[in-house]
Amino acid sequence: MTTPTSGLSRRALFGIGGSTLLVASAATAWRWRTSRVEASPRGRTDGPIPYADHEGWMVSLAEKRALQARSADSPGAAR
Amino acid sequence: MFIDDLPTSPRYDAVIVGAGPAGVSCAMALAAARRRVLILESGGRQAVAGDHSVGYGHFAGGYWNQHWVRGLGGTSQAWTGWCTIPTPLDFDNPAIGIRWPIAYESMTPYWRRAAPILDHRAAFVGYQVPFVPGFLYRPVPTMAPTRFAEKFGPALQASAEIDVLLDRPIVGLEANAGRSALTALTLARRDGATTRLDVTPAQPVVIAAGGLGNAQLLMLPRVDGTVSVGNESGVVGRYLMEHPQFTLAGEVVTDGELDHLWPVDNVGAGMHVLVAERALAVERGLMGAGLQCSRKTPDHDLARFLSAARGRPYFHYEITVRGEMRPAEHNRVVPTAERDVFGLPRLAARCVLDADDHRNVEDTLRALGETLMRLERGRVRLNNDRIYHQVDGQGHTLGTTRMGEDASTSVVDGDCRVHGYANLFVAGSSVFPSGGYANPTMTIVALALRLADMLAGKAAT
Repeated sequence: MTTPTSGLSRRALFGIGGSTLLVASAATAWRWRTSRVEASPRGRTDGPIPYADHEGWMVSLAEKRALQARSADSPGAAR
Repeated sequence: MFIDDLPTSPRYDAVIVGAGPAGVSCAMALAAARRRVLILESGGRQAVAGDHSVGYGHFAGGYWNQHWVRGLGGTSQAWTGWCTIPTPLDFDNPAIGIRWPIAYESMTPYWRRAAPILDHRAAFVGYQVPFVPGFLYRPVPTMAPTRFAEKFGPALQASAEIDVLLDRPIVGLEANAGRSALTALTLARRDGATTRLDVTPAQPVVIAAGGLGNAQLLMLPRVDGTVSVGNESGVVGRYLMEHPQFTLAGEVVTDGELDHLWPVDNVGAGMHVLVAERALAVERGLMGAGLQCSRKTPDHDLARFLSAARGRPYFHYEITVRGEMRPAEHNRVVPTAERDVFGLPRLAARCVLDADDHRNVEDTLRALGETLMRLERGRVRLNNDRIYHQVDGQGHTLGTTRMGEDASTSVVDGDCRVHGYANLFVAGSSVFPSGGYANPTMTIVALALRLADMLAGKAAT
């Protein structure tokens, strides 16, 4: 349930214009920037994903082939 | 005892605004230390949800009004009873750049004291065992909810130390010229008449009016147009967070028998929950996520396939993820020109998940899937639509008077004292600087007990 709020726009209500942005101090901005950099995953490589996708399931390639074969063999499967 | 009006010469050691879990827990602990306490509650003996706010974003539609309950017992009167505590990661997570100004370990005695108040067993607090390397089994008990009105109403009535004045919303806060102490509260009656309650700098006033209600009181407009008392930083109302719930966001097939990990002797009903261990979470930049695994069955195609291939039983579970929101300044509540039935400014609340909040769910599920594959312990399925296109809330409103060491980016310090004020404190989930994934009630009560100890001079600050 939402109710009109005296004709104020959401932008005005939440003050997402320039005035609010100015509230964030340079120190705050630096702290957040630093924290986001620190938050970068360190232990991950950008290599290929070592698994296959079978209907959303993370499985090995061999399992995917086996599961696909089972599906194809099941009654009612499209031929 | 319950009183009908303020005494002619009120003499209290502390004033608490709000008769919910935080307020009542704090008052009872102060009373146990022989402190005289006045509880002021906006609602009556029958707690009722109201039309206090209008929502925008992912939790709109009056959703939070159902969880903002005024009256004796507060939101406990609508609570489901689920209890758990945060992980150490939730108190210090580089992925969101937040470190609570409280040592995690220092909270343990307070969580243990909170447990019996909430009808949980202290021995269960923080219970966790390894599931697989990188993931912990951390079950969540789902006991019958503690209704504070029913449980503590008789004790409040009988107390010689606590006076409870119902149906008195606070409609004004006054401070001294230097904004270093609260000097008075203005109480309203249903007929519109107001009463002034003067307080001295030595009399602590604890605002314990709920996750949104605390911000509402610290944003009360002032007749002289000056900034609201307690909001000198301009931070009040910002960094609003929920606990986003991603129902059926994943599935798992595993040979891990979660039932065998359940601490049968310690607790009754509950939910199987898996969480990433700190090292894995930090390595992958994960935020909080509790993977609730339910509806165990061997009757699943992949479970049968893996059981046959490995020669041991595998089981299928559905996974619902309770996640964390990255604290964001633009998620906030602000007062509108409307007044609610208590005469308080109706709030507009906006709470919008960002891409990282969704991405965190996928990454946590992927981390579990990769671990189970590497160990040949199971497989995980991601439901992309449920992760990225559907989200519910849990009625948890967090962060609107956040705790921190920097007065320019937080509202209260590590003692839950409003920066700059000698006698103004906040209790409740609004002080959480980050949300983690854990249900907040046990931490709300624990922080209230910690505050009471500090006010009674029993705790190091």
